[in-house]
Amino acid sequence: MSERDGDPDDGRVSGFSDESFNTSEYRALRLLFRDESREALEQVAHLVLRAGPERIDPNALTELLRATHSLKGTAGTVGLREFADAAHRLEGILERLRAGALAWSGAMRDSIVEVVDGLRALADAAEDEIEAAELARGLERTLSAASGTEAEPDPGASAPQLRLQTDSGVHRAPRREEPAQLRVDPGRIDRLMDSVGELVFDRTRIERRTTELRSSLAELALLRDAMLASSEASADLAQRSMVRELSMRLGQLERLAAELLEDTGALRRTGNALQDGLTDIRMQSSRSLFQRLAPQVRALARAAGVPIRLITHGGETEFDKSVADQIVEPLIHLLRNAVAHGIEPPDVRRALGKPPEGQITLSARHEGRSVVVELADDGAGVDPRVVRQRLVDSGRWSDARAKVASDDDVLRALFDARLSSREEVDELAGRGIGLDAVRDTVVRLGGEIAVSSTVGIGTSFTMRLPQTTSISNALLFKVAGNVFAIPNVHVVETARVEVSSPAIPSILRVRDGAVPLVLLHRVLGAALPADARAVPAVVIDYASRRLAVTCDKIVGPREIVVKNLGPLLSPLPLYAGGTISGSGKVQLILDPAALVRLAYPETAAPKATGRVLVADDSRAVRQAMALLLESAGYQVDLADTGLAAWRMLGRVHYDALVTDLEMPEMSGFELIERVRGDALLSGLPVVIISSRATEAARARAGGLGVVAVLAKPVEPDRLLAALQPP
Amino acid sequence: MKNVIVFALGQARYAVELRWVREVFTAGHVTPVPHAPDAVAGVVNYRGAVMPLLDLDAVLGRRSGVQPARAGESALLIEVEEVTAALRVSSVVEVATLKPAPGGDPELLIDSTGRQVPLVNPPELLARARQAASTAAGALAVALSGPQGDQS
Repeated sequence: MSERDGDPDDGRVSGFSDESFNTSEYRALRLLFRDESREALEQVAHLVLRAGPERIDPNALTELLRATHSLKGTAGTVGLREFADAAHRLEGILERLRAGALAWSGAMRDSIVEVVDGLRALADAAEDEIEAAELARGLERTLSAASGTEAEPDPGASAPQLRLQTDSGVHRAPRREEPAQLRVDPGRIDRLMDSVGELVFDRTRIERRTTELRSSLAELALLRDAMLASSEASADLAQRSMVRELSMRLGQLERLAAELLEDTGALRRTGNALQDGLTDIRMQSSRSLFQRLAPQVRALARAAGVPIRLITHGGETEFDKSVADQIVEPLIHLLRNAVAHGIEPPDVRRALGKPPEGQITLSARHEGRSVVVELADDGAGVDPRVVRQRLVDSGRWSDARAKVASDDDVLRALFDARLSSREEVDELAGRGIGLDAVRDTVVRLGGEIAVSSTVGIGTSFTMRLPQTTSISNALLFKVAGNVFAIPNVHVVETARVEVSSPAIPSILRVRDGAVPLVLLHRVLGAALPADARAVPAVVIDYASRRLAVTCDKIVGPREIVVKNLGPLLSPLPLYAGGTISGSGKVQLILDPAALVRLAYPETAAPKATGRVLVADDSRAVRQAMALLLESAGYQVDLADTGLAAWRMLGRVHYDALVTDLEMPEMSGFELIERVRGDALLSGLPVVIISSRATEAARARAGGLGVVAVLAKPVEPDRLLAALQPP
Repeated sequence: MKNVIVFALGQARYAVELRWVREVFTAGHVTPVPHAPDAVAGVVNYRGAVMPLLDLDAVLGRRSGVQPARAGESALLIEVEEVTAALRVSSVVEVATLKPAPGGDPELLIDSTGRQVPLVNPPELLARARQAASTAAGALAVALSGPQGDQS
């Protein structure tokens, strides 16, 4: 941002009135300022922190003054008055330090860093006036404390635009030369990236059609050869000349098709270069990620009253800005956990022979096409024995499982929501809070996260992330006529499942062991092909858990552009997004996280048997009920109206009826009354599922001998318990 | 007086105010979405974005079950507070400025042939679809995490 420093326009800053910008220009400017100021403020913090508690290098002080002044000017230009005011007061403090009117000390150093962090928060809150005002008040207190005697703001503080006319040249100091940088709104690059993604699809389509064209031509060539042979024997001269003409034209077409294929090869190379180039533009060094985290660490340390030293390695490691943006929150979360629950208080550390200052190490490095980000603390560590005990106590694990599980397996359970969302907050639960969300974010990006810990030495989290996001490789396969995708990073291999009707194995043997098999047909509400002897399966690895899913046909690996499903459909936990096929069809991307939950249920229940009829007019409820009951072992039939259910009850023997109340054609109560009035069906166990489980409904249900009335959303345990024979 | 698009859906006619309609387009292949609510007939490709295709009758609860979606159907792209969705229609009849029907019901208009045409309310439509979607998502989440059989 300091490019503006020597700008002759600096003196005209006051000429900008609020009206000179429309709102969106203002907003864009402020966003730009936020990014710029982040770097400048971090530089200021770095300079201050480098100074010892006794004295500060006068050159550093000059550099600080220059940076602060420059920030003030820019803030005034984009209309951030609170920021400009606070920067002005910080400048005043720095001036007095330089003049010797204020003394440098460790406390002064800490106050200034706090002011810098406050400025940073203010820049971030630029969009929210109320929050900004709140922050500005807090900052005001910090500034007053820092300046010691100065309790009243100086009169000039309320009129920053006047001071902005001062000549910035006074503070101009020699500084590092940096190559000119171009700042671009990331949204523009994203749009370009989208277009490149479309280009990849277009190219794929052309390639496919060219291949089709060539195979048609090959068939024509066979026909031509046959015609040539027969026409040479023919006496008809006109026909012979026509066949020769045809043969020549066909030869031309074949050459054109071969050239077309070469052209698509060139298109592929150019497209790839374009994609790589754009990806490069979006690449950001880890340094800027670290710069965003440093103030957070300081704020957390201040809040917890624990001195923390942050050490960073690998700031030059580059990765996609959108990946970096998405892991900021998870990293802040891990930092918060480390400061609040990992690092011991200074006196404890002294007693343990550790340096009193806690140490957090953030590092980034490349490994192949991945970026590995590691966050380590030198705190108390997590004791696997305690976690193991907790897993058993909470009923999550059996004694037997806890005994055989390795320490790594036990630590991995920290990422499990059920362990970490306990209501009582103790050290262990604290360490685990929100780790499920952290893992979900990392995995959604196509990465993975691992934890390791040594008691007394510390804990470290390792994230392995893809360098880039938006274009990813996926395996495509067909189920019931529709194509679905699974990100390639989660695909281990493909296999075949022998289907020995009627039983389909629930375990699939693969090269290195056995994995649970999920019938994707059932999950997606489709039927397995009746005549299948063997079906293909895809073996998936997600968060170190393996499973296989069935499909009808493997389509193959493809490059896909991942699209969001939008606010209406994103909540459905089965899908990670969608993509557009070469022919313009939407294909759904399955979320491996949801499939893992199906394959590794939280609790194991014995298989139930029997046939259940579910009557509900909502397709979604029917599908969910079918999934739940079939998973529990029941054979399930579905009806979308009371009347349809009534007809089915007359044809097939059912062990239980699960019915909604409000349905077209025949309501749930009408249906139950008919059942009770029927000689053959009167003893059928009936469970009501309804969003209107009112007292009146319960009373009426009681009179009809209904086993249970369950409110929607139905809790699976209650439904399964109600269906168990007494 | 309201500026509206009048469209046909099966035998019925409806009107929707122009201010909610961003575009009329022809939906290509409709991809079914298992576990989506009945209100969503599937998803379509709208200029490279994935767009849910809403079924008006199902959203309004006038019909249960799913009407199989067909490629090449017309759709209105509606937008309410930055949420967009496609509304499936049989055909677009006309763009017109219509008077409210006598009787004071603001949801009922009179078209050029003198017929009464109900006015569709996109904010309400999307709110209902959202509600249905979140119910469906809840049901699916429960089914995914529910106890199940032998996992040995």
